[in-house]
Amino acid sequence: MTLPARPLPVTVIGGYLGSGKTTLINRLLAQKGDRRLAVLVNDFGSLNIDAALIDTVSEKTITLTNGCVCCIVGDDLGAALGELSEASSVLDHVLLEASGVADGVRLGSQARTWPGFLLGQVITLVDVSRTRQLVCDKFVGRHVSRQLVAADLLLLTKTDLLSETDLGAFTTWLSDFSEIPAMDAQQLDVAWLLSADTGLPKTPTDIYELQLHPQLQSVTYTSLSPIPRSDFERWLRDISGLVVRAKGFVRFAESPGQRHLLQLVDDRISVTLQPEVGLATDSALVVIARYSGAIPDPFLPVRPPVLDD
Amino acid sequence: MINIFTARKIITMNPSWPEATAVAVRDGQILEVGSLEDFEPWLAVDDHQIIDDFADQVIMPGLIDPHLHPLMAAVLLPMQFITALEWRFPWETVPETRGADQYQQALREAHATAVTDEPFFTWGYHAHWHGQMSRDLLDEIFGDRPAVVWQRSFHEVYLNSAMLQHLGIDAAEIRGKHQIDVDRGHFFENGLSYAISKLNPIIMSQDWIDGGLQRLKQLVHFGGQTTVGDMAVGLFDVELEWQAALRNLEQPDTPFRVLCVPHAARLAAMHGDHEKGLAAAQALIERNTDRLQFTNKVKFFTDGAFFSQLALLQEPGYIDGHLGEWLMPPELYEAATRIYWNAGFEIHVHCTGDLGVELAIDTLEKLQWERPRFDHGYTIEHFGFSTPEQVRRIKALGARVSANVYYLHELSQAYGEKGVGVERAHQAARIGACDQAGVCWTLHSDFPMAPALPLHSAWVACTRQNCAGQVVAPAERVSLESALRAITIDAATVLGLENVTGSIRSGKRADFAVLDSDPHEVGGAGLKDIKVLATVYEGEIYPVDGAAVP
Repeated sequence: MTLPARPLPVTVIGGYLGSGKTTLINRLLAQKGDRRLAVLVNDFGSLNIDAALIDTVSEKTITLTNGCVCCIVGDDLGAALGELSEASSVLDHVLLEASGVADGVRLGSQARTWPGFLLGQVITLVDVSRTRQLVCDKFVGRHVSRQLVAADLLLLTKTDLLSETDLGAFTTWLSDFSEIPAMDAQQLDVAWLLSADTGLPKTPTDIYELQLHPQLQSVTYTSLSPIPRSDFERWLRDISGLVVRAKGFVRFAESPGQRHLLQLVDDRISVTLQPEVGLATDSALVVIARYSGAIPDPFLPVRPPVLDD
Repeated sequence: MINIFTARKIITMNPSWPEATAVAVRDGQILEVGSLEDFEPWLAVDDHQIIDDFADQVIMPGLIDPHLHPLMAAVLLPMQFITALEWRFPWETVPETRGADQYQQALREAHATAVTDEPFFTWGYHAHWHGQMSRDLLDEIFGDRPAVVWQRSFHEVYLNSAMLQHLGIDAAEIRGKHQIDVDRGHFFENGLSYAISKLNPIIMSQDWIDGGLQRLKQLVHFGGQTTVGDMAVGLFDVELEWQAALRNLEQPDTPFRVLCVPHAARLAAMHGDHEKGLAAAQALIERNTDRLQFTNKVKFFTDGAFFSQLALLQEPGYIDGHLGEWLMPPELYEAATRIYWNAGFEIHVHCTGDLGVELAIDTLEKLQWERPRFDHGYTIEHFGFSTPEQVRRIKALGARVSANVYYLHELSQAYGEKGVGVERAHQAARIGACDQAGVCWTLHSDFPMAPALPLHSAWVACTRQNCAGQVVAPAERVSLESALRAITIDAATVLGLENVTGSIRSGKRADFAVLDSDPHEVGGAGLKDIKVLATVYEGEIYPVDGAAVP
């Protein structure tokens, strides 16, 4: 497999049945400008593709003359991404339609597992006429609730079905229910959504993971002595895959007077030099992991082996 | 020519005519069961021979496993089993291996005794029993030989350096990826799908699949089974599975038939929607051969897997607060099953958690309200977690239950400690209540999820003994007679084959299991130690040779 020059962003479009996922995808396809999209959908049935644009059609893939490709993803996302990665050098962005009861964050984490892809935004479409009933539904209530609190952006749909008063009541209810920013889908700027950096904070999903996965544990490590940079890098390798998020400051033995900021979100790690603030001389890291017992203390000179889960 | 089989005892599983000592068979059909003297009127009109090979044995109807997955089994069976619990196969008895040292020793022995340097695959590893696993450890044991350790739940694999190289996986390309720890060779959950995409050319090759299906054939026979259900044709690919089944199972040396139940969601995906999927399911029936038979049955799925704790639970859910998964949105389940219900199909639905069961029951209630059907064969498959109240509704709505009791055997202790707590874990597979309510219920293995040994399953049903030796929810134990029905006549009913097999009576196919001891003498607690000496499929004798090696 040839790797693309840069990872492709994957935007997950989630929301319960009938919330307008296909409508949004059709709109993105129509207003995409010169961006080349790959669209992974559950089925082709409702995709509104201009027949004149269709280049080739196979059982699972429709290739368009405008540089886009639509694929049926079914329940083998990995296979679809594997095929896409072959063509990724001619693509700019991937849209992934989640099934009505899927957890967009879980789906997104699967997409970013695949070499050559990174997670863009997780969007949940919210049918304002139905969502309050759905969160109480015996079968899907908890799944719909999760979609509302585990996303980067909520897009409200079918707002014309409610009176202004009812819509106001709904948005008040929603802002109590979820801290995720919400906006009317009709006001969505397509170019902004498909841009490389939307500027949306990624933290809500981290908070969500802690809330909904009580087995996630947070642990803090501190040290008054600097640590050899090679030891620290080995520690980062040891914990790869085990840590959901880590953040903090660290001092290296090679340059004890300088402070570095570590930021780790899943597979993305950055260590950057920070301007000195005050006279702090310590290192401190906060690590969020599924099993904090499996995370060795980076500042202990002799570390125990990484435990299995 | 009439063949007369004599036996110390024939357990007919026909309650009106329960015991006999001889059975007369012509052209694979049972003419009469009773005593040799009774058969005079038949013998006056046709030649006969007496087959007394089993004169000192006990004959039962051929046993039935109504739910297993041949192709999934075919992928797994070529691998070396090293497992915490014993697995009995005709080619070997895989002993219990518990403890890290013992596990590593087993790996070393498997490597040392290998005759080739072909890639090594093992299945059954679990950190709970077998300690840590890593690429370094596998490198140390296997050196340059590619090796794969597949975890018991199927959700994780470990690869050694030679295997990474063999598969062309570039460590730098995937280092730090979510749920892949390439330094430890560990691919789990989402990362597993990447590893499988690389392993597919090996484990989905025709040689591999055919080797696996040949083993499946032996183990189904070894368990005394003359009928099995393939409870999700299309799980991988309908055509690939059909060709593999024709090559390996529709053969004269196959001593069993396979009732094939297609996977509705796969048919809908292949053909566009569930209406077209229904037409495809009806068309499959035209393919039927002697041993491979489609019928008006279809398979659906509600919630996720029991082994990976993705079963959906009603309140209070899992102790750690995680949610299970819907495999199909509930609204779509209702819409799709309505199409099959109105076409007269019998719906089999995988439900592992009590919320999955609830959806299956609520949907059946709606369908019954719209278009009442009697004796409709709607069957809840697996039946992991449930409530007593659901059992009453299952009875009231005329549904059936096909239960996997291995859940309670292997997992009741573990899920009591880590998962759902003792009360719910111990009541997994609530078949005692089904039996008392008069629900038609059966037992299955879901092989390769559990051993395809109906007498072992019946033993678990009678004793509710788990692998730690605890008796769990003893009030849910069933009688010997009910357990025997569950692996014979009631299994046949659940597959819609009750007029073909499942009991020994005039007119049915001559499908027998020949046992070395009498279930009535050894009782429920002794069922697991009964040996199957031979089976008879459609009148032909197939001896079980414990020494056979594929």
